[in-house]
Amino acid sequence: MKKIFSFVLLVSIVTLLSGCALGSSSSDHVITIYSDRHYDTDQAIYDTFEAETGIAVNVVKASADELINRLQTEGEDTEADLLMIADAGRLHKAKEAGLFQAVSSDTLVTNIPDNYRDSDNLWFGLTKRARVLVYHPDRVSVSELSTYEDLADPKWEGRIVVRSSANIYNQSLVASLIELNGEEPVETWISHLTSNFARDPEGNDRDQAKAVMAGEADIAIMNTYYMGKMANSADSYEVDVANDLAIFFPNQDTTGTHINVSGAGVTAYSDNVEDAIALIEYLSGEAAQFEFANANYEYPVNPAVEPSELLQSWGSFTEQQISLTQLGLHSNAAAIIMDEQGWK
Amino acid sequence: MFVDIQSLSFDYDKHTKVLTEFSLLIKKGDIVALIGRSGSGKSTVLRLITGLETPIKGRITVNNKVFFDKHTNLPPEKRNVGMVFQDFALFPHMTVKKNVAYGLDHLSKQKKAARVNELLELVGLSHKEKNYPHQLSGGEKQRIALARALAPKPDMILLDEPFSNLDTELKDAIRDQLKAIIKQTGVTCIFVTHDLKDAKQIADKVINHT
Amino acid sequence: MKKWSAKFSIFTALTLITTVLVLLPFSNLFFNLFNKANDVWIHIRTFLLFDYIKNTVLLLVLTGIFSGLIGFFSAYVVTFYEFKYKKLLSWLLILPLALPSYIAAFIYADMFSYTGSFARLLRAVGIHHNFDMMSLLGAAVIFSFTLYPYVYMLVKAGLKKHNQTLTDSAKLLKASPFKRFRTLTLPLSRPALIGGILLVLLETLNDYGVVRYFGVRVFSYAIFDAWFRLGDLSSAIRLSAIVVIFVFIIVIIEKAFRGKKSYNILKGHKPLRLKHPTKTGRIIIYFFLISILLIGFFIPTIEMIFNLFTINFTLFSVDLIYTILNTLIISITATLIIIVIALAIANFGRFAKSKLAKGIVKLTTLGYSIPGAVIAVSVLLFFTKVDGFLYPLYELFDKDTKTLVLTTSLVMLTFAYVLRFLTIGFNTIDASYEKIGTTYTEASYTLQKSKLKTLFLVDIPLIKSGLIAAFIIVFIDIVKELPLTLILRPSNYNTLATTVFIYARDEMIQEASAPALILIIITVIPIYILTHQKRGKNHVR
Repeated sequence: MKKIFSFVLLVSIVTLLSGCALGSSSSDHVITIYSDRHYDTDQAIYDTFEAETGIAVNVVKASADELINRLQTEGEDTEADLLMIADAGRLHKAKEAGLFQAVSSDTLVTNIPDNYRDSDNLWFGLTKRARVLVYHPDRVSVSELSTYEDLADPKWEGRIVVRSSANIYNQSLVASLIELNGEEPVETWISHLTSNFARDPEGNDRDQAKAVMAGEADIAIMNTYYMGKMANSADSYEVDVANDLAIFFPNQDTTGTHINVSGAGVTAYSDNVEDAIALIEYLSGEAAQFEFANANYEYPVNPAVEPSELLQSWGSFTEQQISLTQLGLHSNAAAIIMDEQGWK
Repeated sequence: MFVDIQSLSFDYDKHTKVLTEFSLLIKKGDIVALIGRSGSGKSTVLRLITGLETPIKGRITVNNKVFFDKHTNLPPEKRNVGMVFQDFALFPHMTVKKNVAYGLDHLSKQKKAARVNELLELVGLSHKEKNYPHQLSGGEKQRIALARALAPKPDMILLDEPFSNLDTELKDAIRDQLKAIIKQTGVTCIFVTHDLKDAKQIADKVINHT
Repeated sequence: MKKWSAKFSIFTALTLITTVLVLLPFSNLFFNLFNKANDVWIHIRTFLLFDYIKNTVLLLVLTGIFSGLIGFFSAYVVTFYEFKYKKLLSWLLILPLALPSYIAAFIYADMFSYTGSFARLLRAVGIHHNFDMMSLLGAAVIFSFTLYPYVYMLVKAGLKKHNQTLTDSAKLLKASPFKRFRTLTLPLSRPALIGGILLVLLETLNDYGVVRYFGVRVFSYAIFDAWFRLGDLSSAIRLSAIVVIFVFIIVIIEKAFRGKKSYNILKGHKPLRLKHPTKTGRIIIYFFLISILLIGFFIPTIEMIFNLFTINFTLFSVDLIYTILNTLIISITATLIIIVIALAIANFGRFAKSKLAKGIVKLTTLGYSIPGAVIAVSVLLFFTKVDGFLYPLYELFDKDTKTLVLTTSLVMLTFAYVLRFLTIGFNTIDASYEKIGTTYTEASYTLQKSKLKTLFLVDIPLIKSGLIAAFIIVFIDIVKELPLTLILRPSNYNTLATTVFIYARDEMIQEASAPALILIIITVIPIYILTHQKRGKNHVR
């Protein structure tokens, strides 16, 4: 018996060690990207990139918070060369945690407008989503709608749905308003806004649209991206929801509609910086941007590329003209104000 | 002395003393009965000799081999002491033959078979070798348990309340049988009982333990 | 020292090693408690903590009541009444155990959403009401219908011991049926009922999938929220400590409610005379049992099968096959390790007499009451330390080794599984050891067999059915496990549970259906084997 035990022990130790050895060896032209994006489109773009440059892309997928946490835990050990996540607030959090390194690239500077890049060139926005108002045309007329700030008006009492304050897109929206209006006006705004909620925040962005469709509320605050997904859903009932509801871009006459990005940066401990930069550059280029725009209902960040037909059908609009770095700077304040003012 | 037990003490916890300063001397080949009320710790003596319990202090020597003292504490499997349990503890998943052969790993296949046959004949149950324990009567179970304990030729054998699980009608016949078998093998034996009649009929020496 | 020389064995060694390995992560966690409170914690304490406590208490109370009612009455009906298809129904009532709560949550949330099948059905018949599934009440309902089998199984086993003589004497004393129920049935099955509810509540506290998806702010949600969203591990640790206090309160309440009374049931009792319900009674019974089954198992399962057809999903993609293999391999490996350790601890415990030894056994098998979120936090902290400590050793093998070899490896995940599910394996094995007693083992020792040989020749054959049961129960739990796997798994390593959760989180319920169905099949088969396994002459059910 003892012999068998020691044999099994030996075998498992050997397997473990060889496994480690295999894990640590990597050929020169492979880059590892930690991504919270899980779209087939992205893989297609990486495949094209590999075909053109010979650099293979190994994607590790998890949620953005998990990836940031994992990078922090791994420190110098990380295999990641790039971190690619949605939301400027989170990108800023990764920057604050020292997970990125600065990149100087003329291509990136040309391809990406400067408000969609980090002020210190640590991360770069790649695709844009607008946070808009989705309303039911039978119950709301366009003339009633104007700005985010107007949602605090008593006429909207019991008519607004939005997801919880834990959702990062809401945090970033509030952060942008702090940047534009200052903390105190935002506090007042949220305290009135929450009293206009039709229900306690729950569900995801699609659920907000469905609540409007179901008559629970008249307006949903949500991302354009999910309206695109519903319009092209395999579920024909979701398509109906997307078709029956209308999109309104707020603050057109004032500060512009809130924009957020999905972006990427080179990790601080990447041992393959050149290849990593090459991939970001490629992703910001026209070919990849065209793919992003047409397959995934996102707005391209590169001004040279047109949005998809569906997105164009919603109309063109004025964007918030703030640097997204500001979203990160205000994101903690935003979270605290939301909790304080009872945005659940 | 063949069995030499000196000032043995034992307790399960600090408040209940089970055994205090117990001593016992036995000649080779003797059958000794340990008699006393239930709960007087007499079964514990057997468990201490087999090594199933560890004493607090004292000394146990059998056949010049130190089982327990200040420096040593032999594990049960190294003491070469056979035990017949009160409920016999025949392994229910093994045949009679397998049960008796259980302690004979050190023997070759042929020697093992010979020893098993020898013992089954001794207890008069050769015809039951393929049966399982649940197919045996109480008396048969006891004899198999005895055969199993005797098989490895132990230095001594211990019997815990050997008659408590048997019907009274059977008892007289079995008592004599038991004594005959033990005497035939010449093994030193301690058995525990609460029945003075049992004790007097079988034992060479009766020790009253209170 | 001499005492140890005889007692010290492979069992003692394994038990002590396990104890140390169990205690280190938790004590490490609690040392972190003494760090100074930071801004995030002050924020949580000021604005969120009250909500967390309120929601957790409310969720536990509602789930406890619902699951207690469902589990108790279903067990009552199948024990005391005779009706057609009873055997089949009493087996089927265990099935919801195969359906993880989070899968039920995803499916029901989808069915009840505006575009979901149930909401459409309601609109078709002219009802324009929206049932708010994604709420605290919805979560309580989901937990109750998927977890009630714990209550059902324990109460059923308890009621089986009921004695016809007792009922008869009560009848002779002219006790009304209600009084008989209140004074006889209920007190006699109370320990089982309370014990079952305790298991349901521990599972509810452990859940992360449902509360995260529904946005119900209870503690597991809060711990991960503090850790990941607010990026503050120390707050997560503080919240974990509060949960552990919660757990202790629940366990103490359970002990108090259960009472110290143990009822000696007369031996050789007459079997129960079963009642034959009236026609109305039969209809009520069928309606009750079939509704439970439909809600707790069949509706979500059938909905998922329909989902498969709507999206033309290829049932077996290469990724999915890898996921299935991952699930099976890690579940079986971890289960085997648990069984080996549980066997050692049970062996250590059954011959141990000192309070210290008994305490060690209790401590080592503490894991099941600790929610997954807390275990995840402590295991991750612990392994980063272990890796730091072992770094010089790694360097011997590989000059440019990374520091975190074990952290986020499968070793770490397996370790976490062992920590959490050891209790279940141990309890099952210990119960079967209790049935056979110690004399067989002792007889073997006196026949010159070592502890290890005795284990293989005597113990294991005698407790085989208990070992199989332990294996199956632990295996099912690991296959269903979500929070630990989600947080501690290596990069890109997916089990069926994480795949289902990630699809659902990404709003792809239809795509989640295939892996979810496979997960259910993998858990249903062992449940069938377990409940149909022959134990001596008696079937389990």
